[in-house]
Amino acid sequence: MKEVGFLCGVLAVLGVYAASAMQLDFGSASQPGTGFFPVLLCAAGAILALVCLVPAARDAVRESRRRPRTEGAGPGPGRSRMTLKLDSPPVRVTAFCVLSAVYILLLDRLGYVVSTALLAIGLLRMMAVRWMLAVVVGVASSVALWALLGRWLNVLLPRGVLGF
Amino acid sequence: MALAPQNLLACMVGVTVGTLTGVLPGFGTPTAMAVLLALTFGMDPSTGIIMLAGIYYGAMYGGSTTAILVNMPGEEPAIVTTLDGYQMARKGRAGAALAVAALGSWVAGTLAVIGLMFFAPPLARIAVRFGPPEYFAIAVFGLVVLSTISSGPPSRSFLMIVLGLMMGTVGMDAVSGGIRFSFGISGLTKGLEFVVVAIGLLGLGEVLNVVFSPYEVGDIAKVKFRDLYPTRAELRRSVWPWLRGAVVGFATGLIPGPAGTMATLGSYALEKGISPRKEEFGKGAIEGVAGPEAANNAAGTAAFIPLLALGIPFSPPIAVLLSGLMIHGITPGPLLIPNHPDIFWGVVCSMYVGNVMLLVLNLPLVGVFASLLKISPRILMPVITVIALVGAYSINNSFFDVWLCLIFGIIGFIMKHCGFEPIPMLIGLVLGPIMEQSFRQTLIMGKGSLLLLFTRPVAAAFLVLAVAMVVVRSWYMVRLSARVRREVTEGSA
Repeated sequence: MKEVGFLCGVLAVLGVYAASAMQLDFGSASQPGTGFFPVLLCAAGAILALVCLVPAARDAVRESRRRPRTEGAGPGPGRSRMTLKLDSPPVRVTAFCVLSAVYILLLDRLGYVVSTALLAIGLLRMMAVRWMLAVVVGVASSVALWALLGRWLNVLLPRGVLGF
Repeated sequence: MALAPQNLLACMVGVTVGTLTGVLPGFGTPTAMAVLLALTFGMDPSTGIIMLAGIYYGAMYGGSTTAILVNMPGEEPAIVTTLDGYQMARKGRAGAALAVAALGSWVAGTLAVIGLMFFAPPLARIAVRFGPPEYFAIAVFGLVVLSTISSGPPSRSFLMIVLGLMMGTVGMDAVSGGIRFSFGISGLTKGLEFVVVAIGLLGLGEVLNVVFSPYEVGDIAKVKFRDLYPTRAELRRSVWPWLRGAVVGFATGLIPGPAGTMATLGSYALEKGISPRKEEFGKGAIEGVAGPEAANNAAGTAAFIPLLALGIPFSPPIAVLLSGLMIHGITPGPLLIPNHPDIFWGVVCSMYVGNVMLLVLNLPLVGVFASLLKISPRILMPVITVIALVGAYSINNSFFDVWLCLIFGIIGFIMKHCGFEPIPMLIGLVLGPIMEQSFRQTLIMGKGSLLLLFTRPVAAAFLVLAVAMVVVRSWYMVRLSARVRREVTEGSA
């Protein structure tokens, strides 16, 4: 089922790409334009996506038929209602992405050292690392990277309001 | 020149970091090279490239350490080493397996460097005469090889390659100079930066996978220094597999395609096929460690040849190296050797030095490297994330690139969970501009006809090989599915 969803997403991306490719100059075989290669890629991509989608959809249908019907029934053994624990894998992954996104937003304002330390501490806490260790590792990794990249190798890092 | 102090230091840092990345799961070679690319900006071009190359072949060594000690391949080609290396460790011969792997890598690496010295310059001289049809055919052949050896059905790999090629069309059109597929986003007008996408798809994608299901490291086999000496019988049994592995690896590395895994699989099959002790394979045969490890290192070195002589990379680490060369204003290709002999010979010499450094570093410090596995992924993954994101930023000092990196990290995670490999997509992204340009130029040269691809011998040969590979693979898949169907039918009857 996951594969079917992914391939439908790919088809959607192909659709957007094709719509944009159609607006480019296609040219001719002897003088191909900017849209020539992209249009060919769209056609190849669509065919391949369908070749992958058909067996994946067939498998998904077969699997859903094989699974016992639980509609209307309460959660049986091994099947629970949609209760997501705070330390469950999907929540962890979502939190990881959200924290990283917040980090990118803060990077420009707070500067490299502070925002990186905050991100590292946040991620470490999210992975259930003890506060003390999280703070030590977070601050140490941020300062060490700043010293290595920013001071030693002169890589430009965001400065923020505090100047580092 | 490679023996200048700064180059020796760069080589030392490179091989150490490379070994670490080979040992630590979740921080693959291309990610490490991509992240550390920023470190080379302030360096002399040859020093920077020597360091990147050091990471690359350092990781080849490091991957085998975890494969032998904990049955966990640090890098994909080391999967084969787990078969017999881990079995040797269980029998208390971990030290001997590590020593044979390190010595084999050193022997094969050194032989491959000699091969590189002799093969790359003549190939570059021939490649000067290559035109767009040849480049297009070589790129097609490389992509076909990639799709046929990737896990899963080839149609999936082909789809990922096409998506990668599509990503390669974003930004400025190399022929007309027009901007395409930027969708009004200014950050996309310069195209998708390969290094940023690689850090996202491979680095952050893998981090998210570990966050989703943290790995657990089993018991790590303890190795004492005195255990590192293989017995005379073990050494005698390893010499020929090393040499055969070097030949197999070097030949595989010359073929455009992901060389490491093909080389180790090929060498293992060869050793098992000719060994009088076939029954020992899978139970701790020293030949099963010696051959593939030598092949892996030789392939890694030989894979430099298509890059240095043709300017075409066929694996993500080599593609990062290409990006490194471009950032330093050097265009890889047939003219690299005559125009930048310092770079070419600097890299070659650093490989000799690096192979010795790795031998000296890997064996005595194997315990230290193995103990790094004890660091919990709960601590390691956040630190890798921080390094990856700052690496993405430092390429162009762009916040947009950091966003792209995160987005591709999420895409990489989803792809893995849905059974799609990100590497074909990355190779598609690298080869996209080369393929499009050579394809369009071939059409213009042929006045709208693609006959040139079949009338020029080199191009025709590569295309015939590509078609043959597709036919053989399809035939194999059809036979396999027929056998499975027959077994299912017989089982249900």
